[in-house]
Amino acid sequence: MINRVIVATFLLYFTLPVITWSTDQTVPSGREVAQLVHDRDLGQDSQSQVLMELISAGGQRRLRELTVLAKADGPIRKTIMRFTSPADINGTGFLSIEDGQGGTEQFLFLPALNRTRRIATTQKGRSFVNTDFTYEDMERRPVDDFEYLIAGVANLSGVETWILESRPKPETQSQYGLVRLWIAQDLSVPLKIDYFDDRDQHIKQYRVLQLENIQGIWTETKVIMEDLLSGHSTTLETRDIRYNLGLSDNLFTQQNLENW
Amino acid sequence: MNRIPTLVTRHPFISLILSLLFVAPFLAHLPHVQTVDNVDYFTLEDDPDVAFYDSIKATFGEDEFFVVAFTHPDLFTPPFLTLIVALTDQLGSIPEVREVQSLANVDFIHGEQDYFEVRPFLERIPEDPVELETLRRQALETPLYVGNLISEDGRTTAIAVFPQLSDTGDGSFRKRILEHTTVILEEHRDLVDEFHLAGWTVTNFSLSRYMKADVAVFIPVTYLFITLTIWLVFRNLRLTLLALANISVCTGATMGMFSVLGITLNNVTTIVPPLVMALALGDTVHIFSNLKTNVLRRSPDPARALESVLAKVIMPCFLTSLTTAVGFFSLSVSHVPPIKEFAYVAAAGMVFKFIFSFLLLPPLLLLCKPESIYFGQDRERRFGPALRRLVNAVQGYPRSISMIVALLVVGSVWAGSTIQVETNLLEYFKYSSPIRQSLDFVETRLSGVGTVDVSLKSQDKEAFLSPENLGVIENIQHFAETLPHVDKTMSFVDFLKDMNKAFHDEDAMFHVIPYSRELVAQYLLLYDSDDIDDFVTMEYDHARILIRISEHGSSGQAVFIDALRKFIDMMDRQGLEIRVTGRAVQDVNIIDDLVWGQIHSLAIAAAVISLIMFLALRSVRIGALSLIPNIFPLVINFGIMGALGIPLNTSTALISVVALGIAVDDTIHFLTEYNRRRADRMSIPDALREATLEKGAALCATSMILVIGFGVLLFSNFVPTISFGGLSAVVMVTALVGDLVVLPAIMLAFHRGRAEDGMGVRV
Repeated sequence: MINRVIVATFLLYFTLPVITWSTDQTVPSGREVAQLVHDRDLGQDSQSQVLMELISAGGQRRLRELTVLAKADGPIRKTIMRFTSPADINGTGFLSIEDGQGGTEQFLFLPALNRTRRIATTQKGRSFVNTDFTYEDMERRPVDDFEYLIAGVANLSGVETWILESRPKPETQSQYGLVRLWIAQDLSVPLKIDYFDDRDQHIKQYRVLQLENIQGIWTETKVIMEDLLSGHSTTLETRDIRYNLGLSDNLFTQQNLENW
Repeated sequence: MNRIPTLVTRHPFISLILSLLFVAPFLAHLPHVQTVDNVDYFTLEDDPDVAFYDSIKATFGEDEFFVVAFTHPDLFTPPFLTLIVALTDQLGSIPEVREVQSLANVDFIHGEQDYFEVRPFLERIPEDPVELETLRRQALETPLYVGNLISEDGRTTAIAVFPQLSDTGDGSFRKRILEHTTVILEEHRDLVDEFHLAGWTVTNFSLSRYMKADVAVFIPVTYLFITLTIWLVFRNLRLTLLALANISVCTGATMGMFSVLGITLNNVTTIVPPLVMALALGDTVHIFSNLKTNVLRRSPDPARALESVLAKVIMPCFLTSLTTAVGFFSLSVSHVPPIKEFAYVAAAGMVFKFIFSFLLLPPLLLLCKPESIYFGQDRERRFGPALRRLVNAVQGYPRSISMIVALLVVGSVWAGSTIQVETNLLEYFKYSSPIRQSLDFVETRLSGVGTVDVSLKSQDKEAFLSPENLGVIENIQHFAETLPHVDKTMSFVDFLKDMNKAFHDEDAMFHVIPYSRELVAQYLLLYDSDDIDDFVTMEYDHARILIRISEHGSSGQAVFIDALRKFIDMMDRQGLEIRVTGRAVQDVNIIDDLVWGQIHSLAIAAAVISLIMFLALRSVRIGALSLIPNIFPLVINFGIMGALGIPLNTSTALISVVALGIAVDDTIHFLTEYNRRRADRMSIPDALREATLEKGAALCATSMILVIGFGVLLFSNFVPTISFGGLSAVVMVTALVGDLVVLPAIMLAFHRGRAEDGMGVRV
């Protein structure tokens, strides 16, 4: 589920029937596409095991495993992640709860200290647990915070995509000056994302390596984020994802975060 | 060899054309001679320490940086904080700048009751005085900043700039970055009167810039002085012009040789042009001083006259060129590329000067009207009386003179024993130079810009998550910080301590290594890898400690490195493989190599030159005697260095070998003349007298020219080059004294001693 969270720069927890623009030959506006992506079906809740692999420029690999639970609470989205391997970090947990106004509260629990700390919002542009994803990459941002433009269409490995360009509005805080997304027209799933810094330098690239239909929900089961400057990359592989389990709200609390 | 004068004087046009054809390819290369914008070439070849240092840089990133520092009592006010942010941004946008670190973008790890954050320290500039004061306090309470980015008193701040080093080894990026930096700083002069730049980038560039200024001064000044000298000695316009033509061709060919061999002008090889000019003039002077009207009168035509002049001097000139070339070439045993390069081009210059003096100069002389270049005994009149007085003094008091010489030698040996082996990069620059002033500014307020690294490696992945191994790092840091001139140490441990403190409500008690491996691993999940990448690998199996020192002297650095190594050898290393490296270690190694190279070169040069002397003078006894006037100036040189506290460094290390190669020239000319007289069955005192009177004038003139050639180096911007020039000039004088005074005095003292013993052995 974490990959979903990550893709979700533009995701909203919402379901709409998939509209296939390509068939009615109407080019949608950028904002409409963004809204569609934002509104993809991600289920009422989900539980998954994720393999996180960090790959250095030199090809050295480090593997971590974590359990991810997610739940929609009206317009509010909550996620709890807990590392299970390697042993040193077993039990370390992150809880994130949207505030409903475009922000997200994040809490961190360190079992070795038995302490929870709120992560300050200033962390946004920083790497999340040393991966190539930043806190911002994992966060959902309101559609209206950005300006959109359809820059064209492209065929990506046989899938027709819209090329959507998104730039933050002047008042929006973002580490990126430009994000260019290739969005599967039929599925509203971003298959590739190029990230540019505020000097328009291409700094990162995200790609979906494997997409599966699970319980009727299109799920990116393997994704990669590459840091083009350092050559470092991170892959996330989702295993055993199950949707709509009826997870309890109590699982998404600080108390549960510390209950390990 | 003896056929050359005949061939050259019989076929002057062929000789002229041949020499022009020979020089043409070298002159064609002249426009391609390059000066370098850096001193990266100062590194040992095939050295394991260099390889290790390179591997450390490959792992943890290049360690080259420079800082832009400025002081203001109201640093923590909006205008100055805004300036720091602006400068960080502007400097960061210079092409070829990899990274900029300042208070504006440095990570600030902060925790309180329920929250934790890592954010840029100056993310927001407050207006409120209370908040500004909080900011100031936070900066001064963060050990990672103090000494690096902010001074202890909070009045001086530094912005560290890390250049992107090119893979091609092209060092000129420093020039471009520094030019950009100057333009940027100029925009902010209204707020800050003076910015101080210091660090290897600046030092490196300044070395190359001053070096270019040196070249620009050396050659014209040498020309000027040489012209004046020739004019004073010969008072003849044609000879002066011919001498200038000859040395120009020699110097031109030698400079062309630079680009033929792919050698650049660096701060060792810049010495070559003035040196070759002075030495080339030596042969010329010996030829000119034999252009006497009585020779012309005795000969059937000018060609024959010149042939006999050349025949007289060609052998000693060949020998002197050979011995000087040997002296220079012996430096090629060095492992330091610029010294090697010096050896090659300077030796090539000696070959050129011999060839051109006997192939190019004679045809040119034949083009002149003989009466305008041959002269009578008037030169004799100028030097004669002085030389006669000198001979009388030497012949009158040989024992007293020998005693004085012995005392001088003993004194010099004593003083020479105090010579420090030291290269102090800071003292390369004059105290008044801006670079030295800036360095002083930065080092007194912040930290030294010299660096030593300690590499710690483990066989096990994630070894540096364990508090025991982290303790090893901390122990080394603690020890290093007790040593003099250590301003700052930094490691992965400092970041962990900072994290630990932040997670314990900024309680200073918790500025310690986290208690368990798990806690370290969990902290690391939170911390952005960028900054710690410079200090630990992603696998956590290789860590590095950075030590900033303000010691610039290689001997002081050597003491520090030794102390550090001893401590590491004795400590509990927890099975880690620990090695001291860094730029300072490389510098110390180079100095070691220089000293050994110096001894090595000197031994080779002395052996080969002695052998040449024995062969040339065809007598073991005379050969042995020839060593006396040559060892004498070297001993005196070391005595002067010891007495004046001039260290043996990259430049002064060259003196002995260069001086030996040149000083021996006078001896060869003198003893060749002496041998000729002895062969005519002249007594020893008479032979010495005649040799002095005959050769004295030419020896004085060549020595004077060499004094000028080396004296020009006094105009250098570099203290070592100045020392080199001054000392070498003194050596030229003492070598002359050695030949005209010491050698005859000792010979006479022994001669008399034996005569009185009734042995009357002929020397």
